[in-house]
Amino acid sequence: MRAKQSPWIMAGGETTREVDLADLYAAHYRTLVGLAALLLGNASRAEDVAQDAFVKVATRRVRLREPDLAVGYLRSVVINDCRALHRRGAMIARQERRLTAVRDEASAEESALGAFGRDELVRLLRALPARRREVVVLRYYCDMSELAVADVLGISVGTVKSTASRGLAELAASMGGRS
Amino acid sequence: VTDSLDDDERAIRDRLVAAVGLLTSTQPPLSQLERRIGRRRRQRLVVAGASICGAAAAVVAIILVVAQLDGGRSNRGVEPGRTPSPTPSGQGPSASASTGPPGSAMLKSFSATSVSFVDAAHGWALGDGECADAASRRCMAIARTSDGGQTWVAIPAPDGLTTDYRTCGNNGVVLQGPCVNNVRFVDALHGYVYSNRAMFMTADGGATWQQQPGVTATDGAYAVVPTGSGVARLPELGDCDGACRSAVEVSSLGSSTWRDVTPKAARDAQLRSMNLLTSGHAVVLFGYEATSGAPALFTSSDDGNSWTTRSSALTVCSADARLYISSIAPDGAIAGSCDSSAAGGAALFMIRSTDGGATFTRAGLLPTSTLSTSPSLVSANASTFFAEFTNGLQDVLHGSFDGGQSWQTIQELNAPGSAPALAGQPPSFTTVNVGFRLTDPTTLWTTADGGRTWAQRPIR
Repeated sequence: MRAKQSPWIMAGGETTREVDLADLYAAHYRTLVGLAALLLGNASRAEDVAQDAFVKVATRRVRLREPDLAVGYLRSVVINDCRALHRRGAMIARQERRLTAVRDEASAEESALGAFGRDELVRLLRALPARRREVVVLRYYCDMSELAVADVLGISVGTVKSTASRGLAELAASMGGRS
Repeated sequence: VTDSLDDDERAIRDRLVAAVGLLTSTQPPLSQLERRIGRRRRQRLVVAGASICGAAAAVVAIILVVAQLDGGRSNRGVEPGRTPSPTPSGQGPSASASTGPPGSAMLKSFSATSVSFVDAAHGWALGDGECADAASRRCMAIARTSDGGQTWVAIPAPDGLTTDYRTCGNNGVVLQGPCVNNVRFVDALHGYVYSNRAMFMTADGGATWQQQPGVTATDGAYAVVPTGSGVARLPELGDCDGACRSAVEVSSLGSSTWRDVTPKAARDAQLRSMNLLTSGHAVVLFGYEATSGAPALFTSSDDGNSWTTRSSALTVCSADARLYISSIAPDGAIAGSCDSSAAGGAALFMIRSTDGGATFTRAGLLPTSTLSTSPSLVSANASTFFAEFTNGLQDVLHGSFDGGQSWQTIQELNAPGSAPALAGQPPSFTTVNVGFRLTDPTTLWTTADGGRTWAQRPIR
């Protein structure tokens, strides 16, 4: 097993490179929104989840060591927050039904949200088991290597390979069957 | 990574990127994120401030409770001029800080028969209420308060207690289990529930109870009182015709071993109608000699290990008056009364001693009442006395704050129902200022100013 490198240094510790939050935000915000949206299968909370990840980075009492490690941390925060939101899925669904009921006209942004929710691939993705969905999204949407996915999810590379393969086959079969 | 993907994988990747394309077409300005970060930091500051305030308040509360417990112990019964004793064995600081088992909901219609406090905050009430599993039945229960009687919780009582506690079998009723009708706690962990039929002890604040051995077939006690080093009890009053003995027993806290410390002269005189009073290390044993009927008084300043006969001090009353020693205050002042009305006299005097029973002086006439001919007399300190009259339907409490020279009416109570329901219990004091009084089965009164004013605390 590889020893996982901590992305953090204690405040006041020595470091060679400080992480710039503005750079991180500019480079990775959109990807993290997409990651959250695909994991949730729902776009309404994706921006919140992504912004929360950056807030957590900014308000940590220890500072980030390396930008690359910081991105991994941000992804981990998004994944964990999405899992938590899934656990509270019923509550969110109720909330959204209420919002839908009181709004007469959809804004452009809401149209985008709706289009995302109606996307066939997103619906198929939403039907996958949580672990399989996470592997597929990290591997193919985030362009992460099998090793990196294994690291973020805390599973073996072999599990990443088999899970990604099954997820891909399932998506392909579903899409092929409907086309 | 992209280069290593095969065609199917690339196709899925492209579909995924396309699906989120619209969502990620725009990015909020960094300032929006910075505002959110600012809000989070402020929230953290508020939470941290609240946590620090909460922790500080908890520390202060713990210090106050410990100080009250220590103050209650040291104030209770230290004789004038005496230094408070070291903490009795088994009663270290950790024992004082603990308050026993967690409480549960009180039984409905709880009705108290006896109350005991160890300081201004911590008290216990013994009584009965509707059983938790069947409202039609009554169950014995013990309630505990940690805030001077404002709120109460139930703690475990000994198993199998009978609810016939009003008679405890003394009227011939065959009891279905041990009977107790008094509660006395010595500190937050060590307490006793008892009657003349049975006695139980807890050393863990009421979580568990052990039945105590006695000197008679029924293993009970007529009085259980704290001493400076443990607890003392009267296993008999000495009133039974030759079948029982006059005895005083002591035990260390948490122990089920009782040691007979009866003064030899008291045993020889077969003392009757005994009264056992304690205040710190001071112990007072009063009774009447079986043959002559003369009052006899014995005092101890070392928890009953050695005794001094003080009967000669009782000549303060005329020979034909009925003398009774009824109370010892937290400051060691002993109070009693001389009743010469039965002998044709007209007066009911109060007598008191402020030197541990060596000498007594008359301290004025006691008040009179149509409710009863003789009051229950207690002393809160050397100059504060209370006389309580009741007939079961009405209760009047008189107080004197000038050593018995003058009296004023403190409370006049009527029974809450039509049936005689007043407890008829005079006040008890844990310190010279802090006292409590159970006036009816659901009403406790507490004082923090030596009995001048009283606050009502329903027990429920």
